[in-house]
Amino acid sequence: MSTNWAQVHSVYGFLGDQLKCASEAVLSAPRGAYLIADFLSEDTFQILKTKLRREHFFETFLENMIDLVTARAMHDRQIRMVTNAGALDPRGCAEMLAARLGEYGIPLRVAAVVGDNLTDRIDTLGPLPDLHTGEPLPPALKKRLTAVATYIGAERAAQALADGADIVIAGRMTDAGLSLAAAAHAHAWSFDGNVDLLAAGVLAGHLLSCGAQSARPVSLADVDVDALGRIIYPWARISAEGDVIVGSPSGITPEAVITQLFYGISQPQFIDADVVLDLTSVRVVPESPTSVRVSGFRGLPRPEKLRVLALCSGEAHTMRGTLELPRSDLEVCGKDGLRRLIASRMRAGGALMDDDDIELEILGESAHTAMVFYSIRFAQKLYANIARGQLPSLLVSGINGAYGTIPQVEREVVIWDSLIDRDLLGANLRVEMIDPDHGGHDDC
Amino acid sequence: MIAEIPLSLPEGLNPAALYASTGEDKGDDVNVALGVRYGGAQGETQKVYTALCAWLTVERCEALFGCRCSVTEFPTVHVVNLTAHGLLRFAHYDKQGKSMGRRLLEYMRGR
Repeated sequence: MSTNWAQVHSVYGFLGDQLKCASEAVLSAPRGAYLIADFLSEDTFQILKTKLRREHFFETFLENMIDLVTARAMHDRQIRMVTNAGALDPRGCAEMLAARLGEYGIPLRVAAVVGDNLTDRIDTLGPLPDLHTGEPLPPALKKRLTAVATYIGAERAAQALADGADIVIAGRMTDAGLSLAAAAHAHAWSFDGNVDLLAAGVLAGHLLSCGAQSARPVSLADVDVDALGRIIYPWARISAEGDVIVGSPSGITPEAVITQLFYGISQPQFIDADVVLDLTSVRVVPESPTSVRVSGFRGLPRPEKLRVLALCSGEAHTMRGTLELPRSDLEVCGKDGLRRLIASRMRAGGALMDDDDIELEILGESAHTAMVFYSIRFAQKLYANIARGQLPSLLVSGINGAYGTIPQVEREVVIWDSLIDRDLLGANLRVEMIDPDHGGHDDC
Repeated sequence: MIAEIPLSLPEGLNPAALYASTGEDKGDDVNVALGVRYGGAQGETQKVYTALCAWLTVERCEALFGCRCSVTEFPTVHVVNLTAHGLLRFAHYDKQGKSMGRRLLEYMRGR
């Protein structure tokens, strides 16, 4: 049984997650532990470009997570953090954080991992074939490109920690890589070495992704519902030999761990930038009410290419929402009739659209009501906004007993998934330690 | 949405012994896993799992979801994983994928 363990705590799983977990973890985690904060998903990149004041990284991280108390505790207890809050501008994020820490008077060192943002290098990336179809990026989409980011591995983040960073801010690093960076630093693993060890780090990172998904109950029938609001985000312990235990002080079950294990995994191999995690013979065994051991996994050589994400603004706008109406009315008119009704009302208000522009999905029915989801695509935003304004009229002057919320209208964003040669990143992918006094940076 | 196909579970496939994962949406695909709960007698767990594998075939999944599906078995953890390809392209509602596992389980429980 190993006595050399790295402990990694999940403190943030997605944009909009609870912010209090970091301040809780720094006070409860053992000295020398690591925190990981995951801000990114494909949807989140869209949000960056369309909704946040800061275009390239997340102010949430700076304003709310690393506050004075958290920073002081991190320093005093030698707790480090790895995060992808840097999004499309890790250096900018790191510089602002370093300045903030300077104002606090907390001597935590901040580093940025840069070089994964390839937006300005789109013309050097080749045809960018679609990951699934092989179709090259169409010229029409390339003209509307807003961002290109590479799913980089954990090696540079681990290097940053080894260079003395207390907080490492990366961009589009893989979710699982956040934990692998911590484990690799703690145990001085080589990224050219034992793939089973790298697989352990990736496995831990995957189980810590998405907040507390691996620590929540699989059914409310299994839990005291009052306790559900007090779930504590999980931690993972990774030994120097590659053992993995995941746990939470509020309790954890093998079923919950397995649901997270298979989150987004449809084949036995989970492909990460640094290694392929093979789950063919994986085993999950409860050790206590608060911990579960995962074993039987192994590592396979990393993929030859790296995944890239290209965001292109679309031309159309989509309106989505839900509608609740009497079940008897839906039975009378059916989906087609309901579609015609909605379109008719929206055209009456001036929206240019056809009945077939409306997608309807019946989400569920009770004895008396039916819940319907609708999605309508408009070639022009003008008509989407007109249609949106017609919804109250549809409810008040249309379907007796119906209820609905004001729908969202969003510009379509095309997410283009592709692969590139690792060599394309080259020396551009590097660590930059931020000078706290001058706000500049030192390349490592 | 799960097609309203009459439910017919084989002997040994007790839905109460199952749990469902959160489906994740990868592009237009929805990924869901069903597993056999821990804590049962080993023989019983294996019996339920064998029946689940026999029932949750590609053909049945495609009939239920109305799209091309893939099924992968993970016997060491008694899990069957299915992917409904292109499901979200039809629904345009990504949150549906996140509840698909529970919906499938409720269907199996006759609700």
